[in-house]
Amino acid sequence: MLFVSWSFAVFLPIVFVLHYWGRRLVWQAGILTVGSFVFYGWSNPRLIPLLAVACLVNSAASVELLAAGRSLAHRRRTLILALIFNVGTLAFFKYAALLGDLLLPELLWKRWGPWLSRIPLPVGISFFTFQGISLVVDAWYAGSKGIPGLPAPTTRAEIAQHYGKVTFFKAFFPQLIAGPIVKAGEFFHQIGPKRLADLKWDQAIKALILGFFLKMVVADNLKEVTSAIRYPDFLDLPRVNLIALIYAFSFQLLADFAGYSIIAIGLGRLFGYELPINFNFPYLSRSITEFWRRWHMTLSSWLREYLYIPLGGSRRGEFITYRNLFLVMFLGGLWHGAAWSYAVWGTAHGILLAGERFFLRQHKAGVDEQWSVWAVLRVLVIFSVITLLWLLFQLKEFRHAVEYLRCIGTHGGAPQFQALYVIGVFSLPVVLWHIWEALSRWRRRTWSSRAQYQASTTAHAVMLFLIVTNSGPPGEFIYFQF
Amino acid sequence: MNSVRQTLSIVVLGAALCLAWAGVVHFLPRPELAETNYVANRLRIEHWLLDPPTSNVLVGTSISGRLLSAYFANTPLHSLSNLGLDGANPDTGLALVLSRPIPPAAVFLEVHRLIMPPSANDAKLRELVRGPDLELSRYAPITRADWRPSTVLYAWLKSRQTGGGTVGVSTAPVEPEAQSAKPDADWAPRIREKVKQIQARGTKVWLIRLPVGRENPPDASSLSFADQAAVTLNLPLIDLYRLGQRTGEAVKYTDGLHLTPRSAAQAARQLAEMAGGQ
Repeated sequence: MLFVSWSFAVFLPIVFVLHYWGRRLVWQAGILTVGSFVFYGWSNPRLIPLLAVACLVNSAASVELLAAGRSLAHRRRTLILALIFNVGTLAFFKYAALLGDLLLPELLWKRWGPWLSRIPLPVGISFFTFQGISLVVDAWYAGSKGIPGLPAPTTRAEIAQHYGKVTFFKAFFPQLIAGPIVKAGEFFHQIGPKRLADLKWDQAIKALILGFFLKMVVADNLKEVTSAIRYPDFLDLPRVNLIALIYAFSFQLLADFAGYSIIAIGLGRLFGYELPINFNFPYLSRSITEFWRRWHMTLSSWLREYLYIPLGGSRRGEFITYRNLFLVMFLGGLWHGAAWSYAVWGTAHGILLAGERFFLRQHKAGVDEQWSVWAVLRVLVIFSVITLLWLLFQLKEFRHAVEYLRCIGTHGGAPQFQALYVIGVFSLPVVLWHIWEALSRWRRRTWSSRAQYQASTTAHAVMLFLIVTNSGPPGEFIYFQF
Repeated sequence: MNSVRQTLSIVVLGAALCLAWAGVVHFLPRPELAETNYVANRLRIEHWLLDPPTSNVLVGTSISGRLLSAYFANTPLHSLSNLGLDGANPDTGLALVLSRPIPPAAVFLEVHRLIMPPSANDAKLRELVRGPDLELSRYAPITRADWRPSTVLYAWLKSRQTGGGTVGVSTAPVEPEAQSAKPDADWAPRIREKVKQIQARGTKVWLIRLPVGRENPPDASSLSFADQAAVTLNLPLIDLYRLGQRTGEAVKYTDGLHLTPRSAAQAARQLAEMAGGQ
């Protein structure tokens, strides 16, 4: 089910009313869990068993990992099996064809290749398998101390409750399909009875309005022109349009994915759960390092915690650090899809990160709020570099991306007004959103709290008006394919 | 309480903006063209399905989409809806004609791309027609395509660019399937069936051949697909391309395929004269 579908518009109020109808946790979590399975299987009910099995296996594994009195060997075996299950599920559904092409002898590939290529990609699998890995790894480290909100179960009733909580954690529909990737430690302690009186309406509604605005007004309208970044459609376009389209796709991608994440956060708040933020104005970054602290933050954090640090992070000398950076970014690229363009994209980011680390050792990695002409120039350069690399997301074949760049160099011709109009009008909100954030420090200093309140109210009302009047044709979220 | 108050303020202010816009839109010229293919198609579909019925309908692709209703003012075809849908097959337009309970007096069916199979773009448009979005537009006009602020602004800018409101619909890239698909061998039974259903409701159907920049044969007297289609479907053909050749009037194209506003207006007048004379 899509957040921007009519079925969801019916689903949400029903689940909301039923959720707050009962006051007991069992009822509320039960409604949300059942609702989440309905949400997941709405367009393809055959996917439900996959999610159910993932919930059961991770519940069983986490029970074993948390239970007191288990031997180290038993716990290690359990962890390895759980990791094999999660990684194996992802590899089978997502990378079987790519791995088969790479590893199978030609004869076997000819026989099995077509079958492997036809394996469907279940929606959201990249997200809920990562969540499963986070759960079992956290449970491994926590042991019998338990994860906050998920103590080691001792009785049958506690084990049943544990299964219920883990299933709820994995299936919770706002974050099920495209994140934010919620880690075990961020969620379980929030599970508890919720009261309607405690609901922070303004925070929930404002997140929903912003998220739907970014998706329905910005991304869905820009999508109508960025579809021209497709071989051979772009071959006839003039240079100005080709350049503008790359930037438009960059804005579309942010609006689409950040929009989804913000809707998820708003939905979480409607049910009393706080999900982690996933985007922090990434196009204000002054370095690639900073970009990865602002873009898809929950994936970056996951990769850092469960891949980069276990590999040794930056503690084992320069060579190992660079190797880890490359490896994490290469795998992070491949996480987006079983295509070499994603691997190239990830590796390019790895090279840039390593280059920054090598040349700019003094660079402050945090988020800087001070602005100057030099800072603005850096933002523009970093934004342009990132935008150029997004081309590999739209043109999956590397040679097509190269051809696109060649066309920019060689194509003259008069700019096409229509596409430039769409790009200008629907990119503007993202630019203004970033400028608004860049001025936040000045705003906090000079504006009264009343003025800020009024500005926020007006901005959200305008967005609501534009959602009603100016939405684009409904479409899937780009990150669903990942 | 402050939390609820801000939520209510946002909703009330948003509703007030919608109401204010509804008032403003009544004083603005109604857009006949839009910034994207999808919105342009939606404009035409909504005009056909939701507005009072017109006597004549032009069914076709983006080629006939250039012949705006405004060009037919003060001609025998002044009551005309344009179902020239960008990136779509005329088949979709015919289905739309049939979906309206009150039949039009005449349908002008563009011959260009008649032979092609429906594409993903057609499926998208049919989904729009079946879906709740269009139904919502019927009861809440503020959600209609011609009320979109960005479309109103675009139409206004284009009218200033070309002067006096004589503007043409420019198109964004269409679905690739629509451009690269192979001809459909069974096109004739598919179209004939729909044409017969339309004729059975008392509507006259004409085939029209509009000037299409890249696809005109070098010799206008050669037998074109339009001639064959007229014979196959047993329909009268209005050939505006040959007419242009005979009268020697210069036809211009914006992108080598679509008519410029001036040429489109000229083609509209010729079509109205020829149809009015028959």
